[in-house]
Amino acid sequence: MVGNEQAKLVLEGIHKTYETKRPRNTFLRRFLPDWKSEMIKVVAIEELSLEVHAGEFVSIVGPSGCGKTTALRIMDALVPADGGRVLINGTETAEPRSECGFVFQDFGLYPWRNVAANVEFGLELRGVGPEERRRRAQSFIKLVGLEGFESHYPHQLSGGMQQRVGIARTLAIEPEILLMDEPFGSLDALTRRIMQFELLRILGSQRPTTAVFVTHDLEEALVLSDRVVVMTRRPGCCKEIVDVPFGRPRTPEVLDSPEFLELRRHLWESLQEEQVPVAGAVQPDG
Amino acid sequence: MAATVKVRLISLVVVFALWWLGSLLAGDLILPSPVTVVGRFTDLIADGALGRALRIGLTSLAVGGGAAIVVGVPLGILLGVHRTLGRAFDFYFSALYVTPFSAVAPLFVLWFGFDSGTRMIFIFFFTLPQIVIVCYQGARATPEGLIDVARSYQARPRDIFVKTILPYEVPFIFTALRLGVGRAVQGMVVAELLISAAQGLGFLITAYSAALDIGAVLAVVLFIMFLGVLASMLVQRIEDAVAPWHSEVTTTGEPSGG
Amino acid sequence: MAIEVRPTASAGSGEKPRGRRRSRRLVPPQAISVAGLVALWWLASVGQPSHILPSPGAVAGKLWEIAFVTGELWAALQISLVSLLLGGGLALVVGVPLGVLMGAQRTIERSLDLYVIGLYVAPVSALTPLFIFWLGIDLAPRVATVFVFAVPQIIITCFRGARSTPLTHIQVARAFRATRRDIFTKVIVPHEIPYVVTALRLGLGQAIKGMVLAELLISTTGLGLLLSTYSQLFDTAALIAVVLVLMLLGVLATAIVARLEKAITPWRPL
Repeated sequence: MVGNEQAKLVLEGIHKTYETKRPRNTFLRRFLPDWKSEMIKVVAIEELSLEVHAGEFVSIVGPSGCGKTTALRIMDALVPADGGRVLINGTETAEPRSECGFVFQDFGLYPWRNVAANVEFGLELRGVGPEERRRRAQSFIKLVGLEGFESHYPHQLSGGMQQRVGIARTLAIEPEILLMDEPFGSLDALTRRIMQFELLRILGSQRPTTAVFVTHDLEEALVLSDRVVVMTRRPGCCKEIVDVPFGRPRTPEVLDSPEFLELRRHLWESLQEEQVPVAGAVQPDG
Repeated sequence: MAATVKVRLISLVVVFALWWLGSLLAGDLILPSPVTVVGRFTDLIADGALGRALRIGLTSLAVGGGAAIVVGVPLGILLGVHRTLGRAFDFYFSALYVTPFSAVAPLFVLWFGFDSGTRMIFIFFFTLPQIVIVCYQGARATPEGLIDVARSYQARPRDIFVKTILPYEVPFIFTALRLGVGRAVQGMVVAELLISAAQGLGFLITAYSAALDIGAVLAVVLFIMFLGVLASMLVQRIEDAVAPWHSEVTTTGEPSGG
Repeated sequence: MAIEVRPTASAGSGEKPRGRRRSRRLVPPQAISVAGLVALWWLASVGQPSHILPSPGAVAGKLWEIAFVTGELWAALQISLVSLLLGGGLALVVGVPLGVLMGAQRTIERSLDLYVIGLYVAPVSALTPLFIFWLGIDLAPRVATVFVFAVPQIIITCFRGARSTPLTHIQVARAFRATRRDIFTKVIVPHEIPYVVTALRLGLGQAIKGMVLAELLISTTGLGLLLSTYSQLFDTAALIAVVLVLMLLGVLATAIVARLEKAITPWRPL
């Protein structure tokens, strides 16, 4: 999958540090919350570098708190990096880019807008006229399988349907790069599996889209991606990158293939090394 | 932190400057300067007028407000726990809560006269709905899940009440106390204004108003308002120290002056 | 290997939850308690002179009289409601923008929060005598009283609204490259609107209380005159009637705005 053309999205030596307050335990703290508290620096990401090529689907997995969501937000400049740089199509990024589309874990739908209005949001901000907006949004609403629900409001929809609206909204601005932050994380296991294959179908019917997908679900990463990036625990950086050799379009049979199980085991072991050591760690079956 | 303090200090200075300017423009008779007000304040303390008024006011406050707490907390919990009783009576307290209660003052005066007992009764009924409603909502807010946990261990109703509902209720009781104190202070002021007491705070205000001694009036008014703020802050601090886990109370706690 | 699926025994057996059915047949407990209260009242009033405790019937009759025969109740209410509308309107015009601004800008919040919270917690009824001194005994001190009663509540509610804008909503807008103006008009303002309606409801309750207090302290026209006249005449029935009407006013006004809230924001668990 590595071509000779310039990489679509490049992270070079990304650093990110947070400052948090750590209060000391004194009785007085109850009356004066700032008493004797100190600021400590937490390094979330250290020296993270990554290249994503056009048309690739890359997943990022890692232990909790490793900074994978932060890394994704840095890619779209929703969060500023403290060191290193992000290059998209060869140019440096300081503000959210029009080439990028972001899908949020908690959907982020506006409750006062119905489905159609939510999907049109990005187009509206770009100044697209009402007729054109409606037309374009409609095609994506249909694509994600929500035809007929245009006038519904988010609170009337299930979690899976809400996330479809979120995806439609992002696709409607036809981004070159899709950034997805655990989009199926708040869904139940069954819906999640359905949505994974739905996503494959949706992306499969579009022109090849570059995607970066953050998840904690190893199987999800393997089902969807061309490559899986494993991050170390905090401070996070790239531990290893695993190629996923399955062809496209992917079908549910791939879940049972021996290669799939082998890759899953490999990823699991890789992640296990990053967990804080616990005596008698559990092995997955298979 | 420093930024916050700076901004607040600056705004305080601005307010005082505007006040002082206003007093220069309008004349000391209409708008006494901060200096005058402080002067009158110390005078009032010195000749004991403020002390007496405070004693009178705080007595009614303590009796009326205290009774409201003693009656209101169990009543609210009872209404919350006992479904039928709750449905039968909760709307009285909600209605009383949005009623302009000061309208009842002339009625109380007609029935009980102008003395301190009347004020205590007024403060009692003024404060009661606030406390009942908060405790009621607290008792009803115990999540079904927690109650089911107790039931799955074959707890008797009495145990469920003591070991599940009551502990969940404690933060609400504190909130009721905090809001109740604020409300009682307001009730005291309204009572003083409408059911006047010789030498009470309300009396001070009306008497000095009539005497055109606005400096004294301002001193008393600002002092009362300061008292109200202090009372609320104190209870808040105690609450934070003793029960730092916060529960959500759905009433926004309207402390009203009527 | 065949997997058998057996239908569950209770499916379609026609059982309905008995408990719910039963309680619908009974009269609602509220009606019972109100009836009980009125009955108690009537009992207590028997044998009492009418200037101490008039019977429910006497109060009802008096209410009819002042409402529909002499019309003095409406005349008084009309006068008083002017101050309510003016003071409340002013409180909205001042309070909503201030609350939103405070929610949006930390500096503004920090410079004003002392005063807003102070006014909110303090017994502002103490200010009315000052207003009387400064502004006279006509409309102005009443409007001022209504204003100081309502405005802190409105500011605080609108502040909470602006401050509670979920971070995700703003991040979504930023990800779609919205300008600051876009974020304000398309995210913060729509999010804020339900809070403004809530502020209206709570502010209205406060405003009514302010109005009544002002009336009681400035008994020259309107409700204040009515109440002081009835007091002097020892017309207890009329006093009780007015109190009931004011109670009804507070409850109705609040309930109507609460309906409006529900209509505007069907997604909020109010």
